[in-house]
Amino acid sequence: MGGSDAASEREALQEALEAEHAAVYAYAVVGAVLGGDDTQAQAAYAVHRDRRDALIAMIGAEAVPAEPAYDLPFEVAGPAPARRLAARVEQRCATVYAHAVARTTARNRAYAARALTDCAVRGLIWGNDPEPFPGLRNP
Amino acid sequence: MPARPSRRTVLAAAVILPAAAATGCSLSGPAGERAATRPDEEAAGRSEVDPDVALLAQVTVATEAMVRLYREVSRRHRGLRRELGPLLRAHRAHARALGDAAPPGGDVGAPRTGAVDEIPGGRRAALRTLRRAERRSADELLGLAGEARSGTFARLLASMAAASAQHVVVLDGVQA
Repeated sequence: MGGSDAASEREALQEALEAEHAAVYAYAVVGAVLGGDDTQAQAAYAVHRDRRDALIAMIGAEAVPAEPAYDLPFEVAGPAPARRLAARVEQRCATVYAHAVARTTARNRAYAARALTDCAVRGLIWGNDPEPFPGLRNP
Repeated sequence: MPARPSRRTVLAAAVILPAAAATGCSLSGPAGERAATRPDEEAAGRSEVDPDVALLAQVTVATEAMVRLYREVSRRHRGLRRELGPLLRAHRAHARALGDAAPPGGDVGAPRTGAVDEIPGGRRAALRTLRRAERRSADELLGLAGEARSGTFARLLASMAAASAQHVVVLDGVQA
């Protein structure tokens, strides 16, 4: 019914985990470029790392591992592209969590919905514009 | 505070159920995914309110109230119009999306009139009222996303919650 069976639910969590693995990687780059005293970058890194760990715990033994490295969408040679990358990460995670909301139930859905809000708000810090439907392409 | 569905809107939601059962489809919302279960219920002579349709009615009422609140604040505080414009448009878009989620031919019957939070005369206080309303909206929508049976509808509500949370940040940045 409606794609909310256990397999689909697990797959949605795995996709969220993959996105968080990539986010942690990206924020390590962002943090390195912006420096250790950029509190927003440090905070964002910690939030994504915590969500990654939480998702691993939620999924259990089958949790997908991180890739050794990720292709960044552009070269991150200074603060401006670093912020742009962070903005891109939040946008991407918002989309993944919105998708997860649709395919999960109960506590997993509540988790995904809260993460969606966090990504939407965090993205504003990095220059994303507010939008009527964060995480959705078409409402 | 108009966040709860009035008795009238819940009844209106009940009234549109047969239409939803007859057509068995909706764009993205409450009625479609479980239409298959409906004939049994009808055969059993019961007419239960689809919980998502009741939810839709509730959210529609709250969303219309946000639209009215923004319109009212913009009317009283013309200097805020430009900054509030995108936020008002977002809530209007939410109202439209909810309309699209309604079963075809159905009208969740959200009343156009109703209580809106008192608008303070001072600009700073008016902004505070909006922030409070957005925070409440974000919380309520998150809760309701958890209640929705349809995953697609839950996603819409969760996205609307995220939009309201963004609005709180935007309002924080508006010069009082």
